[in-house]
Amino acid sequence: MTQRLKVTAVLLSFAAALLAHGGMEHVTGFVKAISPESVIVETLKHETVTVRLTAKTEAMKSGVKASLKDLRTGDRVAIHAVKDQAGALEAAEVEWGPAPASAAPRH
Amino acid sequence: MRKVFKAAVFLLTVASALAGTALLLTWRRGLSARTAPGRTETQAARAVREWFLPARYRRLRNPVACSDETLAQARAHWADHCAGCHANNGSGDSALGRTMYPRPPDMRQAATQTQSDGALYYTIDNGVPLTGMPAFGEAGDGDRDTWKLVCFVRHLPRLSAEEEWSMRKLNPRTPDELAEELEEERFLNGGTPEPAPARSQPHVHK
Repeated sequence: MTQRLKVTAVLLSFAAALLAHGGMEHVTGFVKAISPESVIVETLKHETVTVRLTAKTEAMKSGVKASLKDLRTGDRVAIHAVKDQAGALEAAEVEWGPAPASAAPRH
Repeated sequence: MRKVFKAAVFLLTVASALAGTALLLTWRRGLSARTAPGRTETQAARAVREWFLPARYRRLRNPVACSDETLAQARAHWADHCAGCHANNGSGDSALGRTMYPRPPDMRQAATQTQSDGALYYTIDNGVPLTGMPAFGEAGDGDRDTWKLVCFVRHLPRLSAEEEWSMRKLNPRTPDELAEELEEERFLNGGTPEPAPARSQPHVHK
């Protein structure tokens, strides 16, 4: 019984990890350059990372749907991206601007 | 009598051939949840589910008024309990949903939206055997939280980007991920940029 509970707990912890990030990688930093095809970010570790933009990439500024055209060089940005088979990052979500108030109370 | 016997033998032969083919294909491919069920299997499963829906649930109407407040509560409930498989927007395109067998349906589509309120309630309240869908809430037809979820299911085709975004804050996550998210928010709000400390969960941060 204890063994089963342990296995369940481990599985749930993996599930929670998947739920939150959906297996995505996070790129946080300052926009170094932007084009319609990609955004180049200087990360907090001072690495330069290129993330591809697609028609499916969602853009949110301060919690409100926005256009990637409004993203500027120097903006603070948080990107959630998936790696394609070649290892390149493809942005699922690009968020910038002051974040809205966090987590509403749970019922 | 002889005709009946011949018909029975014929049907038995056809059924055996079909079962044999299915077994052979399964044996060759192996059991895997990586491929989605085929169209025939999906239609057959939906038909069976429809047949077994108790008649009174077909006629049940949602007793809960789908106000903005109700929708906000249901949205939070969905984000916490349902989105893991169904995704916040009900598309089923979630990390778990993508490889479940069968895949969670895109609930914004007609196959879900044309079901009666009672049918949707019944599915949530009783789950769907042989799928990943468990039974939620209290047994019977009076669970108000489940009826509120029916309101939300009806709202899914009109879910705004802002609503979907706000739900992300309510999705389950580990303490490490919560800390990471707060760090991200702090950074976006102009806080001092600091690399996140090493986490116990191995997420790649560039």
